[in-house]
Amino acid sequence: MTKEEQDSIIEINNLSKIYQEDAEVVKALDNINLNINKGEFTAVVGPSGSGKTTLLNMIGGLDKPTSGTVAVDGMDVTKLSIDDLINFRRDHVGFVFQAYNLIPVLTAKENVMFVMDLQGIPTQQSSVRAIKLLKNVGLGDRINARPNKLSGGQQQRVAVARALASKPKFILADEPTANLDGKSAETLLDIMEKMNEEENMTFIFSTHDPRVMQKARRIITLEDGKIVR
Amino acid sequence: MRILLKIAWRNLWRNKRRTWIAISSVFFVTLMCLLLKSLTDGSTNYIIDSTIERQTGTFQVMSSEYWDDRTVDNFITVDENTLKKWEAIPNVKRIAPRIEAFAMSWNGAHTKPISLIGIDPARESQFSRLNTRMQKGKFLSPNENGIIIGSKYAEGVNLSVGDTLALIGQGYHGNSAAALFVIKGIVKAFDPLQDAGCAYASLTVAQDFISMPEGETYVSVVLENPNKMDKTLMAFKQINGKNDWVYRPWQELIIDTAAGAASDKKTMEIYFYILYMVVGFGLLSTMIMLTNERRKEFGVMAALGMKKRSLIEGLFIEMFFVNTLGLLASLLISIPIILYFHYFPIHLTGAMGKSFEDIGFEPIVPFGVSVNLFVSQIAIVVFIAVLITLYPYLKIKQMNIIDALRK
Repeated sequence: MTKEEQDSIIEINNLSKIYQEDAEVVKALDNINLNINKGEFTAVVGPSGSGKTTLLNMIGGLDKPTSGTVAVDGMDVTKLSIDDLINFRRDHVGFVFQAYNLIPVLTAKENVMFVMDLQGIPTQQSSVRAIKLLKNVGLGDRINARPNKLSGGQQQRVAVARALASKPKFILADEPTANLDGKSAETLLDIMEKMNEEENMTFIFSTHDPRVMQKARRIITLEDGKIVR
Repeated sequence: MRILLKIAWRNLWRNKRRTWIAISSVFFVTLMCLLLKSLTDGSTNYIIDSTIERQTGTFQVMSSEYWDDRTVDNFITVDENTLKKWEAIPNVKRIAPRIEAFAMSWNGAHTKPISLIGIDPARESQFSRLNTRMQKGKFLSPNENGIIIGSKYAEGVNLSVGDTLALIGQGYHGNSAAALFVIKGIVKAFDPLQDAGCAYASLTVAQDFISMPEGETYVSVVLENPNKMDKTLMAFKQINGKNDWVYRPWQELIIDTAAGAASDKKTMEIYFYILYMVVGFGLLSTMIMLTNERRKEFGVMAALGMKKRSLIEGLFIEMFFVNTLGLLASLLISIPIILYFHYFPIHLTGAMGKSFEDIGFEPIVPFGVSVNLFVSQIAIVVFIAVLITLYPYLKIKQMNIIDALRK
């Protein structure tokens, strides 16, 4: 086993996703082969409809491929049962969505605790971790604020804290800066970069944002469902 | 579960107006159903209980042939010693031995068939309080050789106290029965039909008239606690040792009244179900709205690792909260009202009140109180919550996370 294989956290082989839209066949992903190593800070770029989000959904166990495999730490995600997929997402994947998607009736701290509650971590323990994570993303003074009392940038930072809460193997961020102003986007990227450097957390972004591309240490370019670079 | 409860409770107050409308609809329907059901149960139970208490008894002891062939030939003999032993059984409240025979009455101008009822005056005074319903003259004494007659009958054939009435009929085992009786009093019988054609005599006088040996056609028994009837019947059987006697319960004795009451209750229940259907559809529309509004949230929570079953449980809890709040409010309001009218019943006046008095009932309408009254309402409300949760159950079960996230 090579050093690269040892460090590899995600291995994608011959991955294809084909949609049938009326009479038209759409190849959202076309025979993708890709390895992502632990600690990478990777951006998946490409025009709209190139398959970025579909690729992230496959890696995150949100969608099933038409063919091919996605292995996370040697476990083939595409073969998991529905219940095992739920547990896989809960325990191994951190999600950051473009529209933040915090649970509106929960406070910032409760949103971060949410996944830990699903994992069955005792409340006191999850509360301490949630506060620590929120402090790390610069929101130590907003732990009891509901999402509607937070700015877009603050909400996305809560989402990052939430993604980190379950101690996942990697974080998938779908266009995380798309709805943010320049300063908020900059702050968010700095936080994610810091997490990557200090905790060796693997980040995979889909993005159009040149600022994200600039920070990324690896860029994967998709076009028509194929990796072109 | 804690997180589900927290989310469900807070979601409840996201759209306060909608939540209050939903809670109010449950509140008003449950309140109305509780009050109406209590009123229906209370009034029908009152009529049945009064009939049992003062007329038929909780059960009647009779020969096995009497029910199908109501002649004096099918009598039973219960001596005074046995009657006293029966009266001493702990659950027994009152006992009245009776003879029912039929005769043709004649007073010179009118001929009319009547029912001659032999009674034990002392026991009947305790049982039916017939002595309190005298219109004219005096009530019977144990060996009184006269009779008392129904007030409508007296009016119809123009008879009064002191007049003589001839009765002619068929006695025991085909003997002819004929005698003249002096009318000692006029009584208002409980049953208007009976009042128009009945005469009461003491047991011994009735036995003499129909030439039957010492005995009764039946003995009515009122129990303190009808639910312990089986145990009481064991004691009866032990005392009398007769196997060919039957113990006919009140349900068979007043079959028409019981069936009428049951029918009234069923009719009322149909109205209740219609009301619950109305509120159920209201709640269903609320559930449809909030399920669709929160589709993306469900998608996010499912993506983060929440099981679809938990999402459905969350919505069930939310619906349960709505129903429970409505139900609790209605219980808080209805319980004092029901208890008040149970202990201080509505007094009927006018024609309605008079009709009650005519049949020997106090003109009141008490509200019924029973655990079943409240349990049934709670069960219905929980059932509605479960039924309504079927909608999000199906929607969430079929939910595609990717589609939900795209919303």
